Amino acid sequence: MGDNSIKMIRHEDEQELIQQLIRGDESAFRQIVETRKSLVYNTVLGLLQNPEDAEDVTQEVFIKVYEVIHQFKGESSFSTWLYRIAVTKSLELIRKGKRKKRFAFITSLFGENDEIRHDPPNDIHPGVLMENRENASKLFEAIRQLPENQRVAFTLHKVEGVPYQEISEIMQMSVSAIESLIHRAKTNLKKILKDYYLNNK
Amino acid sequence: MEKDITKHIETVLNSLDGIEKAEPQPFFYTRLLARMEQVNASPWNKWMVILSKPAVAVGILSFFIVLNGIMMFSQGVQEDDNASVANDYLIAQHSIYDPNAE
Repeated sequence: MGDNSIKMIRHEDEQELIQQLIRGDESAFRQIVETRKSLVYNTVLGLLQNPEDAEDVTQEVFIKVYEVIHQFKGESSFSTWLYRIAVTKSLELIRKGKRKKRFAFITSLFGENDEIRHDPPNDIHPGVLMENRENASKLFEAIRQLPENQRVAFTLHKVEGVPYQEISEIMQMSVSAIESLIHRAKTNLKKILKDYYLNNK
Repeated sequence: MEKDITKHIETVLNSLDGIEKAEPQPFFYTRLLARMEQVNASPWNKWMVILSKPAVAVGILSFFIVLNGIMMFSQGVQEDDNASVANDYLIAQHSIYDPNAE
């Protein structure tokens, strides 16, 4: 997956921008948003699969960055820190959706027919090649059934093309733990897809 | 049949190969600023920001604990006062639940 849509920025320049943002410089914030919005949007979109939700959460990520930039100590790279916020915010929305779905039955009893709204999105990542869309749709459906950490590790690696080393820093786990997570994710996906195709012959 | 399914699953697993980067809608920054202004303009949010500061939260909690202590202390003094008035005027303070009450 090419990285050419991200306007590249030198590490030193980014550190300077971060310092300016800590001092409250709005133009520095604008530059950070413009250079990093693609990274955040694609990470969130990979996890949520819905462009509207992804845009919403991307905004929330940058609002969070603006609020807590003074907490960024440079212990990890800025992109790792951004990935971490993007993943956390996406998972918050996924959990909220699951909670709503759990209560959808109860709310429907009180006249609010919420079932359709709580259903997972049918949208598909707009970057998927046209000839792969049908298969990718099934794959994303299966990914949604994975346990949370397998879902994050697999999506970051497969959709975003993030290397194992950086995923380990984002998820604060060892590289071998990430390898194991992705291996288990693939095994589970095969099982989910097999069950699906056997039942829908 | 099983072999066909296994082969198809491999194709599905590889369906994300060559996925391209997506971009947010144009004027993302403008919409982001508008949302930030909206969030900042909400009076409820301003209060939440103030209340969520640890120093303010601890201060308010301490205030209520002290207030609670004062109320309990003054209640205790009042009860003592009632008891002394009863003694002064020889009023027996019996409860109907007291088995020794006359």
